[in-house]
Amino acid sequence: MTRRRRGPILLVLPTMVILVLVVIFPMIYSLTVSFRFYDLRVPRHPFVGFENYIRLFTDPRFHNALRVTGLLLLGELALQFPIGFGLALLLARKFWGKKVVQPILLIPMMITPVVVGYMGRLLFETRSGPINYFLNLMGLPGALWHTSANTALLTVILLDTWQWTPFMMGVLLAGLVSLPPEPYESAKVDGASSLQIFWYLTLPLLKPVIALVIIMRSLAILQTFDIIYVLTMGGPGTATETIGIYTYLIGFRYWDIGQASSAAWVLAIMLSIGVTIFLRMMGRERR
Amino acid sequence: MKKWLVLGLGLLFVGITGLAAEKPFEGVTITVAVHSGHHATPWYMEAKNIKDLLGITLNVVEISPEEMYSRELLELSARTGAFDIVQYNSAWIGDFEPYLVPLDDFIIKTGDDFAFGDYLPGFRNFHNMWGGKIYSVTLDGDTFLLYYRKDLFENPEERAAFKAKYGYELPDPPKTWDQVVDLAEFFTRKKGEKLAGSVLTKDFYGYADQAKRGRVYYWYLFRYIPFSAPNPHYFDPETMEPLINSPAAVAALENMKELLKYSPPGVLGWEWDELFNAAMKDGRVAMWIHWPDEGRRFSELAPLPVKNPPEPKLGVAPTPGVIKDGVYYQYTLVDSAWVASICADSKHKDAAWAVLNYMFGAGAVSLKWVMSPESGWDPNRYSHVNSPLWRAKVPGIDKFLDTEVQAMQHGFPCLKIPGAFEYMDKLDLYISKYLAGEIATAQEALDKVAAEWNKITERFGRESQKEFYAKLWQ
Repeated sequence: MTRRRRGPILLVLPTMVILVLVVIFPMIYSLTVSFRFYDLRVPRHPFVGFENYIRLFTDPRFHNALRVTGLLLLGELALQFPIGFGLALLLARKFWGKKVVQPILLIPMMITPVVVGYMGRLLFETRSGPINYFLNLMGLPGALWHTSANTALLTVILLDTWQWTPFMMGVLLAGLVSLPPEPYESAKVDGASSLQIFWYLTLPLLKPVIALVIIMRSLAILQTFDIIYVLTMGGPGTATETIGIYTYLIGFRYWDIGQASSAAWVLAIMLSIGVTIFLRMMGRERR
Repeated sequence: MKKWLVLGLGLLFVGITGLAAEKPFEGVTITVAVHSGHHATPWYMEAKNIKDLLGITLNVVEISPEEMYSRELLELSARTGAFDIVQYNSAWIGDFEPYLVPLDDFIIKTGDDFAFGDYLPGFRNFHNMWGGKIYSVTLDGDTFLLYYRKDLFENPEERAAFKAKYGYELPDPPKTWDQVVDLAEFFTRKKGEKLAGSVLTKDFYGYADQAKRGRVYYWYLFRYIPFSAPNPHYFDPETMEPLINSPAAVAALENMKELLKYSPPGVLGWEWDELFNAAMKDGRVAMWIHWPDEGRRFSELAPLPVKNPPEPKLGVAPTPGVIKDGVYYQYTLVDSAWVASICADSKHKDAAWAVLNYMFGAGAVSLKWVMSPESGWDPNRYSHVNSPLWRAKVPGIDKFLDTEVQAMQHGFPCLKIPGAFEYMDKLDLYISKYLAGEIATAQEALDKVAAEWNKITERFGRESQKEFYAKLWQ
């Protein structure tokens, strides 16, 4: 190998080694574990073929976790995207006090999710929490929030939306301010309305950023754990038991590492398929 | 001169040997794996005394409670010898047993300086004993007691009204779950109604459980155990068939749902702080079951939420029981709290025992740390609960300490066989689903629990689980 070829390989090698050790090896190992009866408390871990996957797909609790995760994903994106986009459009304009408002809006996403979970417990407290207090002041009845199976998931969605809409807003705002000014100037000269400019210029130009932020948020939502762990622990019943909570309980509470690995792989495959489909759709529209 | 030199050397030798006798483990380092945070405080604070007295250097390794089980089990099963002493939850004994040494010989060898018999029976039998041997020493005497508003229960108007409505004297303290239901119904009142002769400024509730998913199973077990009297069990010891869907178990769960009617809205999301605050800081609950915290912090009880409240007075009693065929059955669930054991791979087992003896033997050190709010450890010995020092230092604590002794006479263990958490979590899940209305009947919910328990038992091996279950009672 010539020195010229060896140089770049040596530069990339440390990263490759770290990737293999930290990402590739654990992934392959977890794949092998998913085909074994692997209980941390039992010394032998025999090969069981697809048994862990069969147990997973026949477990009604897993079906429920899929449903809850799906609802969480849809609910959060349905709220966070329009609100985040709206705020980004507002902040893209010049107005008095913008330099104060912008960092304040970003504060929620800087708080640790565990702390947000504890804050949620206080805010949504049914007996003396401030949210029910203000509802009562307005003559409205207080809700049971996270303590009722009917409203627990909604409470999680609201809390997560409060925390992560600023992220959506920040990324979209960065996209908006980096758009080229020329098409806008031409559109204005041609007499296009604000709505037309938004629909035919801003949205198409921003599509790559939108795709990126939706994928990033989707991945993060699918990993939502801390807030639910602190706020509801997946309950009442299984009303807020997501795939993340389900996998955690199976793996780190029941120590059934084999089945937890199979659940993690199912989630990873589903995510990959979802992301690929979404990217292809975006790509097709761009073409 | 020579004579003086000989005398001097003699004294020096006596001094050195004397010192050596006082510090029998000079130069030995003992590594202790402990629960991080407040549980670690006593170890750090006593390290210097242990060094001065025994010559042992203490190496404290703090582990967060979430990773304690896995980290300790991995170290123990890999036989790394990383720890000499492990602090762990007594529920894990089924998994940890092969890697620990029984303490019987140490206790015999040291002439029972440790005073093992001084432990309250509930802790002695269900924390420390396993398969007929002593495996651990108790750090934290966690258990559950019934708390109630004695200021309300003693009110003459309320007593008369209760007798007129239910036909028997208002029970103080409540002794059975049937009485708790009557009392909860009786005391649940709306804002504006009268309570203890005065107008309520807030809604008031008869009873509350800590019913959030995750630990609601405890509040079910408080009922399940006495309802299953006279011979309560989790499984049939002969067949390992679950008894959790028996008619008694169903009645216990129905009692739980019945009491939800008299509980504050939102109890299905309540953890420790919500229940403590509603009952102790807001004063809006008449009866509840909790750990010993309220008993120790009785002076923090808020007045009743009425215009002219009487002086707050907290009642403490063992958890309610049942009467069957004229016989009263009461059991106290002994929480599988924190204990410590010596690791089989320790190279300094005698030194490790000396450390445990110093920290948790009967005497001033263990008393100091259960009295101190810094450790978070609760009393667990007769010498703790009968301590004249504690009683003199905290006037009014007597009621709690006396009740603790009374409650621990009839202890009942948490499940401790392999997979205990999984069994309990399945129970917790279906109770939570039933209380949240996701499952229609108590029988259906508990049938599902029984089916899940059978699956877990099969996975671990029925015969092996049967052996472990037998050890729980030995």
